[in-house]
Formats: sequence, C-alpha cells, structure tokens
Amino acid sequence: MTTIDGPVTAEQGSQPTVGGMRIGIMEAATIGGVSKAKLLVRPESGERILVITAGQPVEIEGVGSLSLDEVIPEVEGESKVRVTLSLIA
Amino acid sequence: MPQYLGANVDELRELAQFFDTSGQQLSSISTVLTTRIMRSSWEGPDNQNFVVDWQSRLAPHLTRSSGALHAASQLLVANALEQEAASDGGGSAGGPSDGLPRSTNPLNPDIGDMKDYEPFDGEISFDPNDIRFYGTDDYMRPDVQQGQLGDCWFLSGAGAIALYDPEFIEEHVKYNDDGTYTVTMYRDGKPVEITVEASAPGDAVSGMRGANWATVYEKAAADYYGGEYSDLDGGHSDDAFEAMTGGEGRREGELNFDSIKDRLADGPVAVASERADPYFWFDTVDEGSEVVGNHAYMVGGFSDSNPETGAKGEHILVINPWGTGDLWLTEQEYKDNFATVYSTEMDK
Repeated sequence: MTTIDGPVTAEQGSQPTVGGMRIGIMEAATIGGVSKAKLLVRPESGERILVITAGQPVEIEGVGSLSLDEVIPEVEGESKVRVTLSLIA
Repeated sequence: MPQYLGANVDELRELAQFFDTSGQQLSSISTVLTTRIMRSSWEGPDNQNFVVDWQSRLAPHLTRSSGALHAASQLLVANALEQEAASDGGGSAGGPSDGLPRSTNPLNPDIGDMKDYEPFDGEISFDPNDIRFYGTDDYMRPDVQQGQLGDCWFLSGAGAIALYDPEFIEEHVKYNDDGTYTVTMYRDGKPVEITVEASAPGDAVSGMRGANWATVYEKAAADYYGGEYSDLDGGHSDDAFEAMTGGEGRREGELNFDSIKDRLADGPVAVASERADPYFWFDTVDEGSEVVGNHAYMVGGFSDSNPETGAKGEHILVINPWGTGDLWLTEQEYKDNFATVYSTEMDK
C-alpha cells in the first residue's frame, strides 16, 4: 500500500483537499471502537455523500482509493472531532 | 461606602471558559442520551411516544440550554475585553488592545500543518460581480470554497456580508503598489488595517478560479485573531460580523422565518446547525440528512417554493461555505436542523 497524498488532518465542518479532490467532512465519530466519517467527496466525475469506515478504503472514480486513517475525538473547548485522510494505491 | 467597579480579567476569562466547556458538556450529554435511547431494545407505542417526546421537546431544551451557556461565555469574554480596554486607557486604533497575540509576521501568518504558501495567480478582482459569483439573479451565492480550516463561522460571516453588500468588500480591501493587500477590519469598533502578502497556504479558502477576496480576508483574519491560521478553527459568525464591520454582532437561538427575514432586511445573516447525532448516519447505508452538523451557513434568501424541486411552501436558502451543499429548507426542516442565528445591522 502506497500513500499518494496525505495524510491530511482536518476538523469536522472543514473541506480539505486530498489527491486534488475537495472533501467536506460532514460528520465523524467512533462508537464501539469503530471509527467512521460521513464525507462529501467532490471528484470531477461528480460529488456524492458517503460513509467511510477506518480500515476500509473507498475507491473514488478518477482519483484513487480514499482511506480514513483515524478519527480524533473532540477536545472540549479546543477542537471539534477531527479526521485523518489519505489517498492510497 | 467605597465601591469597586470592574473585574479581574483573568477571572472573567476563566469563567467564560468554564461556561463554554459546560455548554459543550451539555451538548455531549444530549448526544449520548439520544444514542442510548435509539439503541434501546425497548419496543412498542410507549417507546415511540417517549422517543417523540425526547426528540421534539426534551432534546431541544438541552440544545437551547447549551447555546445559552455558549452565549453567556461570549458575553463574559466581551466583558473581559472591555475591562482590558478600560484598564489600558481605552487602547488605540489598530493596536492589540484586546490582549490577543498578533502574528510575528503579519504579512504571512503561521500556517501550522497546512501546505506551504503559494503566490496568488495574478491580481485578485474585488469587483462586486466577482464576489457574488454564481447562482441566479434572485439568489446569488458568494464565490467561497472553504479549505482545510474549521473557519466556516468566519467564511459564512464574510460571505453573508458579501451577499448583502458586495461593495463593502471592495471598499475594505486595498491593493498596494508593492503587490500586497491591506484589509480594514475592526476591533472594538475601531478600524484595524492588516497588510498581507499576495500568497496563501495550499488548502486555504479559494474561489472557483483560485485565490480570491475570501483568501485575502482569511489571511488577514488569521493575523487578526492571533497570528496563526489555526486561530480560525472554531468560532461564531457574530464575531466575524463585528471584526469585519465594526458593528454589533447579534447571536440568537432558533428563530422563525419571519424573524430571520427581519434580520435579513437590516443586514447579513448566518445560521449554525445543530450537532448531528451519530445515530442518524453511523449504522445506516442511507446517508440521511445533507445538513452538515455544527456548521455555519449563510442565509441567501427566501422563496415561496423550492426553486430546485418545485415543492410548495416557503423555503429558506442556506448557503454552505464549501461552495456546494446549499440547501432549500422548509421552516420545519430548518427548525429541525438549525439552532442559532447570527446577524448584524449594516447600511448599504
């Protein structure tokens, strides 16, 4: 597994760019040891909403395989929940 | 009897932090309770009644209380700032009279873990037509595409101002002969001029055609709020209104459409969504709501029907600072998802 771009860490509500594709971080959470994020991915082929699970990369047409590396819990009074994303091959 | 007027600023700030943290704890408790309720194996009509009561009455109470604590926190911070200004003899225009640290290099604030600075590709246009860039004549949107920072609160405030009065943006940014830009912001109602170089970190806010007016404003705001881009992570749009216009920002809880229209008649308006409950998206293939939780949006206007679907009934347009994900919502849909309204009064 090779990392093409990233890792990029960004807060819920932000819109980082990974592999030249903007990704809106709609929600993120870890429940029962499982980390997931709800993303608005915006490849040139058309934007869509998806739920991605850590450890289960999702293929994005024309971009590559998007991986949710980590969900970092909210720190009260300091930061919202954050996610770390990578584009892998 | 001697009277002591004033306050210990550090104590006020500590109290503000405690209020803010308490508000977040209350919000977290609400989320946890909702998750527990939804995952309960309790079945039947009593359960359904309980869930409805929780969602329609009890949970919103907690949300409003959480918002009230946040608002009280901001009031305490404002009092601390006021006290500091008074102690400093009123401060001076353009000076860091609020005690906030400023950038060691205002031209290029610290970028933290963002990608390196890149020069702008050409001079930026501040023509109002480029600022209110896309959409229809009736419902224009500002050309804003949020980047890696969690500064939806600032960008929605800035975008709402640009929607209300695009010439305001043009009047508050000056292109200098040396290729820099000077942005006029306000501290305690007094103008503060911030000069920045014509460059931005990769993954800063931009427009459809690259760096634009929002990129310049975000860079100036990074200096204004402490000297690092990360200082923009998290905030409230009423603070953005005050920093950009010098006027008084207003933060209110859930309002009905008529009240929001009243605010919109007098100036820019932004709204903030409620924190989303993981229950509604975590375990389902159905991605559910398209509203981003705990996120600031601009208010773009109202329509008697949904212009995109033709659905009847009054709708509000909320504009996502991502540059996509704008939504037309009925009043009920709006109330189900949004909890805070930010506004200020402006003369055009």
